[in-house]
Amino acid sequence: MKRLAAVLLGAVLAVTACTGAPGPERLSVLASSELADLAPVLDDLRADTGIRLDLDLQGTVDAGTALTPGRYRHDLAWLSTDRYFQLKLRKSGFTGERPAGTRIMLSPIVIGAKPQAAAALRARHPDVSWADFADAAAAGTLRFAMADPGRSASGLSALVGIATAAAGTGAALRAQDVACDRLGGFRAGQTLTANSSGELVDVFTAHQSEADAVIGYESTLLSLNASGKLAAPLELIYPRDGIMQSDYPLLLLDPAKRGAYERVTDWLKRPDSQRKIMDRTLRRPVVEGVPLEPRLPKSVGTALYFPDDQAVVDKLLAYYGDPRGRVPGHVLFVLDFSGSMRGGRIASLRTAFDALTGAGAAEFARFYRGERITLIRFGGRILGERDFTIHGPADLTAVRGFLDVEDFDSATAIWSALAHAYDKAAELAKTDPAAPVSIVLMTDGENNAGLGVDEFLHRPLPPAVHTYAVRFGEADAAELGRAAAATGGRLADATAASLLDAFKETRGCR
Amino acid sequence: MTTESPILEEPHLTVRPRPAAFFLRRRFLRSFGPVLGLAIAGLVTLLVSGTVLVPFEPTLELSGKMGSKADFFADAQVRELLMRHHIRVHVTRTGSRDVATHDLNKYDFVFLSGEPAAGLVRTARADVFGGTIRQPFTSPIVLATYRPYAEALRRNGIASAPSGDGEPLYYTLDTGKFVRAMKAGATWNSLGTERVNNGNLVLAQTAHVCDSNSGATYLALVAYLENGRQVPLTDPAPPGGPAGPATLHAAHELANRIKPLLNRQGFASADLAESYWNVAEGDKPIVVIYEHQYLEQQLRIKAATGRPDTDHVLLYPKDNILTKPQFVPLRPEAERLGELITTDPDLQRRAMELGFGVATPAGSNKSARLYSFLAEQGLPTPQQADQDGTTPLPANPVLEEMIKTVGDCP
Repeated sequence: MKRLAAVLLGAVLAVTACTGAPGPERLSVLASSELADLAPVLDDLRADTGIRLDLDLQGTVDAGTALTPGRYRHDLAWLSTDRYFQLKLRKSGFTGERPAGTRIMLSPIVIGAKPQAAAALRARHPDVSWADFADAAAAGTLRFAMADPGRSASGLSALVGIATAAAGTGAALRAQDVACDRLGGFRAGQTLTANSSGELVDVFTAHQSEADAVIGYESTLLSLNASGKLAAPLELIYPRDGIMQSDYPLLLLDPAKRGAYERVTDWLKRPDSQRKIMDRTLRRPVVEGVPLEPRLPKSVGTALYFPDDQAVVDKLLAYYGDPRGRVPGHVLFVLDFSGSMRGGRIASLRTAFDALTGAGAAEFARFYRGERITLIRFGGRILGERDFTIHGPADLTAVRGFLDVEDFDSATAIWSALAHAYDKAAELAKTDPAAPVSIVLMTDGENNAGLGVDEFLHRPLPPAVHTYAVRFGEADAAELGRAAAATGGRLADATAASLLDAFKETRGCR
Repeated sequence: MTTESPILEEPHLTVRPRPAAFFLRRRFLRSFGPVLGLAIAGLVTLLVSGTVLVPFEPTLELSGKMGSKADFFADAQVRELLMRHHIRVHVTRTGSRDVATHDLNKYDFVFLSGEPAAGLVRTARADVFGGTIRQPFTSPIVLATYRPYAEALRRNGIASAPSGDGEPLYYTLDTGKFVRAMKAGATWNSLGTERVNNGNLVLAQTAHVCDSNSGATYLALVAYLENGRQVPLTDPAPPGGPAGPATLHAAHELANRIKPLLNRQGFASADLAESYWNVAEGDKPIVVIYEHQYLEQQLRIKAATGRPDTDHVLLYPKDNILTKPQFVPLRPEAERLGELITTDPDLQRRAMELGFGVATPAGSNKSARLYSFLAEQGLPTPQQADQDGTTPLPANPVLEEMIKTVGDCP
């Protein structure tokens, strides 16, 4: 009887097997390009569950923008992050059901630096921050590779992280934080880029002499180290002012596939699958009970808050979207060297320039490589004038040297000096029309020589050249403010502001 | 537990070979064999797929949509207990308010984390089915954090813990002082958090207020404090004016005042409880979750390792808000499930093992039974056991106005 039952069962099971399961179930997946490294894990998934994931690999930002509710072309989506997708849904006023999502694995965005570059960064502060990194990039002592934020989520998340650290509010980035160009110095150090994090690794591997550091996923950088393709492995730096982390959610686009989706996510979140993912790709597990492998430090530091506003991300991209197409601006400093500046005032001026030239604490808004500046010292006449193009530390030293003179004049010809600066600006516009020019005027006195303010204002003023005035001491606030406003600039707050703040305003920072 | 029915034999004097059982006789097999085969195969399939534990009674398949209460139905023991009653539950997980603001025609029931979302469902579906709404258990919102952050709050007088307890698991959060610290722009570094370098503003991260009951409950808590410890109300009717619908200018204005405090966290993640337990502590220093999501893990860790995880600690807000999950049947078939999880002793016991308060008197937020169960299991008991001061939620239209204002919900 047992044998008969077994025969019957066998026959019936054979029939159901033939009709019920013709080969594995297949799910199409819109996936971030770096997920190509999961192929062996997905083979195991298929062996265990009978479900095959067909990955359609694309850059995350591209993939995210291709995801339009009602027009999905895949069963699932697997992105490094769905934040951009979620922001876009909210911005579009979408009120339908959002795809279910399950986080599968984690990887923070960190700095991988060549040993020498890492040592130089740590020499300044043992716990390296993004500010330290940006400062070295601005000074021209550090060149780095980063994926294009317009195309790749790793590039965009890195940019959001650095911009958040630069804003330094301790909160999520806001539109007004983005308006301010604190990142010019950082960007000046970028020498290599690519459309995706994977491509970036290839570009860096092929051009190792052209960059000192790579910004990318911890998993990608550790895998690169393990590949043996580098002259020396990169040291991973987890910036102390905060990081962004990707959590690789698997999204269900076609609700009819929920059953298979749940089997896939259940399998992927099993501890042994999570361990396989970690061993294979060096991405971190999202479930507990999977001990981290030794190359992954337990703590990655502080996570920065991520903006909850598509407009902020759009603005950030508009300002920094194309890492290849940027034109450094030219700032003219018109500096009062009349006798009353002697002593404390000139000392504070020099302190401000120490910060701008990187001799002080790490500062995001500072002179950076490729940037051109002109310093003009004036009294009753122009006392000195010099153009600088910042290539490296020597130029920054020269800037400080130009101000380190005790050459003061008895008179103060503010408006003649400013008119002179505008003549200079007109010349610059002729030679390089694409480079924006702005002027920072700093004075402590009443005008007692040369042009009057009205004479100055009657001269034709180029509309794009704004003057940001800084008042020290007795200077006539009303007159300075009126002239600055006429140029499209403004008078910096006389009490609290320093020249440093006024300089930040030339970069849109208030 | 089925047994073969005995075959009675007539007394015979001669001994003949025993006839084959009727089901092995050739004629029987010829006519019924294929049918029998299919039946066996079907049964095997059901057994293999786990549909049937006790065969031969139809299984009631119910689809539900819910937020964090999905933890309950995801539990293997709960699923097994329900199968004993021939019920199998399919769960779609999303935030409770997200549940309430979307079409529910595909679902048999919803299980919302709190009253406000249940109110929305009730209003939207008043004409569809008016079943019995049940509150099978309770679980307040808590602020889950890590030792160094809790200690920084304690040193700054913002949180307290019973004295003498070396490594307390539970702290009481002075919510008023906490909000003042947020308003003053305190950062974790400015509070002097030991072993930690964190320049982020001090705040509690919540799931999105537009989606989740926990986010909305935390909003209601902050609004209550900002409103001078008064529950926000609709505008008073103008004296002598016509009695029109209540206006909500005051609620809107109040929400706008607290909006910057709540929106500083930026992008709101879902799955906060999961990342709280699984991701390193710098990721999200304080998250607003439900007490059950904390206690369940601690009970599990205690059972597995013999001691609780003392790095993960809770802040109980001093002015906490009543949070009662609401089981709302959308079709008559789901009524039985609601009744079972409310009254079945095994399911209630399991709910307690999963960290839920059970058999709580109406209007109370504490669960003496849950806390004595914790003590039995060797876990400390939250101080909350001694106090039952809960802050009422604002009326639904007031809360909705504040949620939409703070969250810019679509």
